[in-house]
Amino acid sequence: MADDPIQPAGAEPLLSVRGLGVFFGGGPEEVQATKDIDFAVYPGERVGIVGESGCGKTVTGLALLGLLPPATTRIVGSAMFEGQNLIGLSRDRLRRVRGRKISMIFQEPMSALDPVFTIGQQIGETIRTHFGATKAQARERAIDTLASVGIPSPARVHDSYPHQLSGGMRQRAMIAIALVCEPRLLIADEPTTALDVTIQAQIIDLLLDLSTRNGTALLFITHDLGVIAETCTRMLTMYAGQVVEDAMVDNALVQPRHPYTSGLLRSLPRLSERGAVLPSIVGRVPSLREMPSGCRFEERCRYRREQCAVPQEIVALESTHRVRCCRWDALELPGALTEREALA
Amino acid sequence: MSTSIVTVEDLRIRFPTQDKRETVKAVDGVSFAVTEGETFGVIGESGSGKSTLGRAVVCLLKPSDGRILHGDTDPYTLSSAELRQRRRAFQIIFQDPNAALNPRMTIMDSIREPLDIIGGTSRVERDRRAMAMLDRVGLPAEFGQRYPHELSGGQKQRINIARVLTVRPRLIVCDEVVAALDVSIRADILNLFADLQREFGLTYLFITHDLGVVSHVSSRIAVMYLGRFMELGPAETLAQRPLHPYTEALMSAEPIPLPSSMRGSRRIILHGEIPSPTNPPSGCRFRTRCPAAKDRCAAEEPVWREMEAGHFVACHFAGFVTGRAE
Repeated sequence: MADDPIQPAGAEPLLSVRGLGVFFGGGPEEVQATKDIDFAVYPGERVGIVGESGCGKTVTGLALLGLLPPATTRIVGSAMFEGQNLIGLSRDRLRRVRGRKISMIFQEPMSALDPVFTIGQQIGETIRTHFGATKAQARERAIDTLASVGIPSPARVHDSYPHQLSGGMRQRAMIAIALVCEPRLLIADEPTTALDVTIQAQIIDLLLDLSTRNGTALLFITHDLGVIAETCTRMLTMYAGQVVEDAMVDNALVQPRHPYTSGLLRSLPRLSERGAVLPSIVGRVPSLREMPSGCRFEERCRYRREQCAVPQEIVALESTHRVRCCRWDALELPGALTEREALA
Repeated sequence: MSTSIVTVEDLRIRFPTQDKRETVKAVDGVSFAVTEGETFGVIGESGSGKSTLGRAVVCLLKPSDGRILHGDTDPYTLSSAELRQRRRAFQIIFQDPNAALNPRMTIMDSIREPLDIIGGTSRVERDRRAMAMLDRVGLPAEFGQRYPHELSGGQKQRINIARVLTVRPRLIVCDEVVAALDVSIRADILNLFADLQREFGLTYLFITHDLGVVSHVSSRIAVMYLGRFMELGPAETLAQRPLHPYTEALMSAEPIPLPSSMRGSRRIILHGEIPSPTNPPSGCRFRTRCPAAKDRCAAEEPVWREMEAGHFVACHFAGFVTGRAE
């Protein structure tokens, strides 16, 4: 089937998302935030989701875990995870998955950590909820986990409140809470964006190490293509609520097939001569209320033609590369390499 | 001979901590001069003192020690009326485009406000100048009647630029001005800064933590750590052949969007975090995180020395660690 998400040979997907769409508002005012999201994550695989603000990256992550406000959200499609559909799962059942099988970490650890409980109490809560451990067992396991995420004095941090820790330490503590139950999938939403580059390098290393050591699959949401290149093997480019490209990272960087992926890569300063004009993508992401009926990127696309005025289907060019652009065949799009690198 | 628009001499800025028991040495002995028309980049992690330095340059913070010269004048020797007049030429733009705009004022009123304060021109003339700047930063005239919440982050940052330009500054301190923007918008704003520099002969002090951005826009770059400069040199040399181990670590920490086979493997992971500026380490303040620290680094503070023409560094083993010297 042409729209089959990319799959490595012989494996069953850990997570299989089909036709996922998120609507906000309800009634006549209802708007659609994401549409026809299809992708799969295989066990131990690291998949990046990239795109500008407002493209639906975070909404997709939150929808998978049932973290969007139910009163104002309607979700269609399915997300199969270990034989059950996460979409529409009862609160009780979802609770058994969340934190145990799938965890999520966020950009701002302070918004995820409760300021009035110690780090230890917050990790302990997760352990006791899912494993029914005693307080002493929970403490021991919590301290082990804090040590495993590279916290220098885990016992002290265990008894600290979030405000007593630095930004990097809080991020590690949040990762420890997310990983204490050894989930099979970790959804990381911009986990390094608020951090300094030297601390970011530490956290990237940690996530890579934990993922390879425990076989945890990673769904890494970020706007930073450099971070994707260093952490993921596959990347999904999202634009205006849709997946527009799904490819192995190394291929997408060298030879992107969607003009939006290419545009994101080309606008990075490293590719231009110092002081030269940076190629930007003119315009902005369309608002949810004014979504174009044809290709959603058309208005900003320098390669647009008449055939772009109709809705674009995602097509598979190879078993590991899908793209939502009818002109993919006709275009030679520049990627992340400078001219010199491309020739080498 | 090029002229210095700003000269900073052994600048120190200290703040008391909240409980008044300790002193934060935010800037702790920094000297440099910015040449008219150049873009001088300052890079550093949070807590390095780079924003404090930027604020001091435009007289938003008074030096605790040392001095800052605007041209050849020390602004703090001027009367407050003279100071107000003179510092118009030295402006600053901040990271958060929202924080600088009053949500209850229209865009037009915000852009015109600096001219209203200066006075001396008619309302018609002030409107005309504000409108011209709105146009110059690439926004349509009807935006003048809108309010900040109706604009995107990139558009708001354009408004902040227009607003600063109304008073015809000579130097603009750009403090993380593109950090909050998406990559494609970031490229637009950086292009705009470059255009304006050519058109108005502006000088920029460009403060950022983003290595890609700083190497693209700057002619010279200073690397700041815990209140001091570690290295200062021409942008290209500094990025490609750093002399200080901190610069090298910073450069190598930047994630590069290249296929795994093409990325250099020389990734230096710095352990630990930037120490507290209330009590910086003895000797070289980078030594607690330096992969090559020796006994001498704790005992003796490295001298700020010019290793090559225009390329300064503060490290006992400059060049050796980074493989530049034999």
